[in-house]
Amino acid sequence: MTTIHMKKVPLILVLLILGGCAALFSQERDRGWTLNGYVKDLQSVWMQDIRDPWVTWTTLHNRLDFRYAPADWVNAVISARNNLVFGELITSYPMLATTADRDPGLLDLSWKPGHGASYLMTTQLDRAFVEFSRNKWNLRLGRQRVNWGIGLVWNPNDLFNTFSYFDFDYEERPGSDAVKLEYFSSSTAAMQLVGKLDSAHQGTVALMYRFNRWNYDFQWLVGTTPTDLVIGAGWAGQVLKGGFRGEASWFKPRDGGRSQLVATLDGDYTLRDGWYFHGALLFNSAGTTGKAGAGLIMPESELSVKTLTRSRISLFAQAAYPLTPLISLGMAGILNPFDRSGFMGPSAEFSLADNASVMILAQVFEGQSGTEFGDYGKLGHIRLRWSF
Amino acid sequence: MTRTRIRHEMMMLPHYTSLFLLGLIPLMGIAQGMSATEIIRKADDKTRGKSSYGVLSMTIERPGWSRTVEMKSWSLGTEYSMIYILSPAREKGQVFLKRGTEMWNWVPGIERMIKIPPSMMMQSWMGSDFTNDDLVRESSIVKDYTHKLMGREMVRERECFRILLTPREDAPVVWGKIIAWVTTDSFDSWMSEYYDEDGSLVSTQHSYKPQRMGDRVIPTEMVLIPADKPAQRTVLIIKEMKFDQALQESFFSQQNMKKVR
Repeated sequence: MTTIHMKKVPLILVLLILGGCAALFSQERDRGWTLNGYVKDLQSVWMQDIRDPWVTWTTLHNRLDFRYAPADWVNAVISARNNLVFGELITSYPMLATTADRDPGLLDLSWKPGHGASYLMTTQLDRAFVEFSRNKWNLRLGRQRVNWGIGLVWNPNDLFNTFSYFDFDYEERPGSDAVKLEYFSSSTAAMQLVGKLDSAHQGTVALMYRFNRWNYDFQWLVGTTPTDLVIGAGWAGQVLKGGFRGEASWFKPRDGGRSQLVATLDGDYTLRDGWYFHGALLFNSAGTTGKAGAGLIMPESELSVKTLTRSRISLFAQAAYPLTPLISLGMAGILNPFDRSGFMGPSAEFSLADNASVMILAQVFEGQSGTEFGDYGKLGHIRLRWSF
Repeated sequence: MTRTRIRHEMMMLPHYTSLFLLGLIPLMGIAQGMSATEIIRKADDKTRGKSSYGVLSMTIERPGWSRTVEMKSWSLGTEYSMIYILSPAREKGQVFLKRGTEMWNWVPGIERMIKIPPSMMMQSWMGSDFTNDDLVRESSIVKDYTHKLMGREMVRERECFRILLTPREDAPVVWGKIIAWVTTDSFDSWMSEYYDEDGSLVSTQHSYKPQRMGDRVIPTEMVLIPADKPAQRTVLIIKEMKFDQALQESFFSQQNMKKVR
């Protein structure tokens, strides 16, 4: 254990120092090297109810994106995500440390360089790939984000990597250990063949074709996951100038179980004065129309396209408005219409400078015990972000 | 949402540029006897070229603060354009592609191609001094307006044609009228006033600092000032620009969006 720690600490230090240098000497490196990233300071508080004990914690989050492109036809990317969490959350829930360095990928690229009674340090490489392109072909090998999602809230077509809408502090989202071969058949059409292996050496293989017709983007996909055969389709276009998108995936379990359909509709509209309205619906044929309680928020690694919601239907609504060019206000909500539980997320983001911003966000879950959102409590966050 | 807004507004920039740049090409002596429409067309052709590549920055200036976006831009005619964001750091690497009336945004951090719906184009850029409804609809100062030569005037030490642009009846434009001052010796759009449908002045655009960019001399700094907020400005600076580059339609592809740097 100790030896592992000894090995990992210098890596973190090297990464942090490199990050600092990049910030000092600007982003552009000579000979095809670039380094970008950010540092975030996230202050959070969680409570079941306002009168209950408050649990507070701080997350220092650093991201480093290295890219090396020695020639037009080849480039390599390594991205590191370094987190230091400290405070009552770690003290109160020591089990968080035991799963913190569990890597769901084929390669173990997650480490826990340090933890104690009050702090937890983690490092993960969530991108590590090389990419070759020639004519209309593109081949990417290694840990990468394969994103087949079209919707802005839920993505039934995103077979390779599902994320939780509530994990707002991880925009980049995790990567998969995969091989991706892409062929661009026209300026707006492409075929992707992707194979992925996870930490249990189980594979997902899928083929997706994306094309443009009648001012719409369409895609279809077929694939096989460790448990299911999958067929899916999606589109992005417009109705009355508003965005109109959808995705559907049909799963046929290989063990002969019941098949499942997961589908989403998604629309948004922007008014000339800047008001933005957005609505979405998620349908899950395997979902319940009763209480859809999960008991606890599922860890990232157990999320899948089949469990985007436990309800038969989930509804989403959002409004946002730029109060000034520097201040944007937003409100998002999710409702389970069957068990009447829901989520409200008011937010405000302030631009402090070209490369710095602060965001204030609440995540308020409401509902009776045992409902989909009833047991999550309430969270508040303040996040300072500096990008380089 | 600021991020999304910035993103979607970025796509407007080639249009702003052409609106801004409205003019150049040293065609001395030809001006005599030209119609107002020919003058406007020459000014428009000069700023667009058949194709172009440029490095630009745009700064929103307000009392007490300013924000800057830097970008590379490629265009072919009015149909195709691509923009690569250089800064701010948070948006760096994002690419915008316009093909005809369709637009896409490639966000490399999340590996996502987003199709931008038309309503998103109706916003102003970061709440800046631009309206872009007419630009979104690809309105053309040549085709969508009638032009009338009102005389000649000195504007900041340059002799200019003063031309009144009145929108054609069914033209998809937001302005009630535009008055453009185009330099007589070099067809630079030196100043423009934009009026609403009630005839009130909305904003004034000035061009400065003519410099050689590729095969021609063009103003490299454009400033837009809203009439009712004289302390606000939006400044566009051309750092580098080349015209009539060997760009093919195939350059403006989703494959290239993912590769361009």
